Amino acid sequence: MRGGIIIGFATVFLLAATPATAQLGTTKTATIPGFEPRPGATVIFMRPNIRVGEVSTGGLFEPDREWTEQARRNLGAALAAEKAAMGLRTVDEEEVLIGADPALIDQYRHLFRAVATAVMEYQFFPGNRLPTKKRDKGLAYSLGPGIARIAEGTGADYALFVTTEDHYASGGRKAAAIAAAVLFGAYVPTGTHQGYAGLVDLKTGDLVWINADLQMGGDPREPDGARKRAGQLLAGFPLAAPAPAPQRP
Amino acid sequence: MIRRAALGLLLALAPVCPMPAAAAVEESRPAPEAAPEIVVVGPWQGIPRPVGRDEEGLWAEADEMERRIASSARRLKDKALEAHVRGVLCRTVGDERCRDVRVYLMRVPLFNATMLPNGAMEVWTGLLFRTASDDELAAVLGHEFAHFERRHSLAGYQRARRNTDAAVWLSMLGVPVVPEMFIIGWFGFSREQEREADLLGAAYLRQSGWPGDAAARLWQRLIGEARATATGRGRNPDRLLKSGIFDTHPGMRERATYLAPAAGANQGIRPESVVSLRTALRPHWGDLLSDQLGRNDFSGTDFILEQLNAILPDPDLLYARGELYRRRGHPRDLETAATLFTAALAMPGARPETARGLGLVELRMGKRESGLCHLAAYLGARPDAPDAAVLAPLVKDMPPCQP
Repeated sequence: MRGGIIIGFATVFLLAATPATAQLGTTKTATIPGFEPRPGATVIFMRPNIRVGEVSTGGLFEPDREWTEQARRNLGAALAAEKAAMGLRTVDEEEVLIGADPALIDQYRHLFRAVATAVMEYQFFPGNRLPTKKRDKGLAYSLGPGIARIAEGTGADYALFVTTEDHYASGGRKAAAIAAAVLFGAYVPTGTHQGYAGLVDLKTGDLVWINADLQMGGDPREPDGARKRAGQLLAGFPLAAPAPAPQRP
Repeated sequence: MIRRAALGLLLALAPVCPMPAAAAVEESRPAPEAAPEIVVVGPWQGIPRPVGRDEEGLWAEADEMERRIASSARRLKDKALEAHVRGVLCRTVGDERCRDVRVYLMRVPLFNATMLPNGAMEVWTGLLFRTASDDELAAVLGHEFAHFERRHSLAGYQRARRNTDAAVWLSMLGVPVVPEMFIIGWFGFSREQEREADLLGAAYLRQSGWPGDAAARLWQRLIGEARATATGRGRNPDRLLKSGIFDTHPGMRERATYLAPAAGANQGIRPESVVSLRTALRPHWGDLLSDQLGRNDFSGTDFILEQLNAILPDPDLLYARGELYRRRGHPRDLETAATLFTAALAMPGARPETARGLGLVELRMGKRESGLCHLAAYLGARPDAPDAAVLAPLVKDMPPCQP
């Protein structure tokens, strides 16, 4: 019990000042090759992971309830607007997955995060690709067909997962960054604004689309910023209708 | 991710400070000469809502964490056992305090319980397995509740931030600070919080009529187990008895010692308290035992099984110990295992797997006939056992042994 905690803490303090995944600078999007959306598909919108807070002078994350609630509200509205504009049929997780086993959903949430992280870490950097993925150019990751169990009886086709995390620099952190730059020419990271979204096929478990950005724009605490953020999160979304196509009833 | 881990740790560990609030509930007699070791439980103010930005932030994080705990695949969803654990907590801290707590049981075979700042309490099955009685369980739950009552998460979080902030500025001033200095300071702070929670926990025990020595008794047993584990793995067992600078909790002997005077006159383990907890755990007893056997800790497991059986003999504890020896399988282990299995079978309520264990051991010892008849007894009681297809051809027409 104690050993792990100690190592965990030491790591935390040593790494607190370094950006988690500094190498990924720009937006990366990938869609499964030859993807054909099912016409009139229904998408389950999973409860998004949203965290907003400050970075203390020493680099600790300071969660902020008010900001997080604002972001949840604003991003919720902005994503709803995006979905409406795309003519997408979505249902919220809370409304549709009532009968499903919460532990199973939770495990798929974890699995999605693990797979999405693997894509960001390996697939998005050709030089970093895993040996079995070196030759392929396309996205080929899956959560497995077992995921169909969470949506049994709902008739839904896809699940959309969204995560955003914002750490704004506190006054002390900014001052420390300036002081470090002036005194030593050293760089102290002042904030983290990252997010990713992924679409999973609920029949096959395939990750059909993923979009990640570790330096996102838009302040989700403001309605305008949240609209910008939502647009970035859904950039390249494969179910978007190219033009106002004839709507199915 | 890293920062999430940091916060998770802060929330989970509930670190510390010499809080002024502590003074208010301490002994009200003037000039207490007998050292401030006796803490008295004060009136419950309630923790209805978080106060200030830091605490609100920690609660918001804790609320998210609690969603994950509640829907975790590790969660042991047994209403009856959950109600039992909750009942023990409520009796310990009182119904008023208890109302602000949600209890979640997790199937993790290690000794731990944690309290989030929002009142969500996680209790691991490895803890339930090691507490011998309701009063020992009460001692741990009271300790966790004390962290909650004293808002230790908040204090620890604010202190960690103060220290890391100071480290940044000092290092810019050219002061050769090593962040490690502050880390070490943090661990000392954490140990002080644990001690405070231990003493307030002891106060709950006294006020609620549980034997006051429950915590010390439990710690003595955990010391024994930890020593056995260390010895079995070729490490120095004495290292465990003092707290080192990197320990989050006080040394076990230290805890057992400073808790002793807080125990009061009401002492000793009660048979009904042992039976009550064993009965509540009964439906999961087999899982708890097999989880412990899977930990690859021969000496520690041997110690704890023997201790629990000495407190209240139980055929399942003998069976599990027999399995421990059978699986290691030195020739002398086979003798020990056979003795343990035989003793278990002589008790009422021994599980059929006991006969399986004995049969397999006897086969390896060359006692073919007796071994086969014990396997036949096992298959007779568990015709659909997962290993029936392997064992049935071996047993053939052998009649089952009579117990």
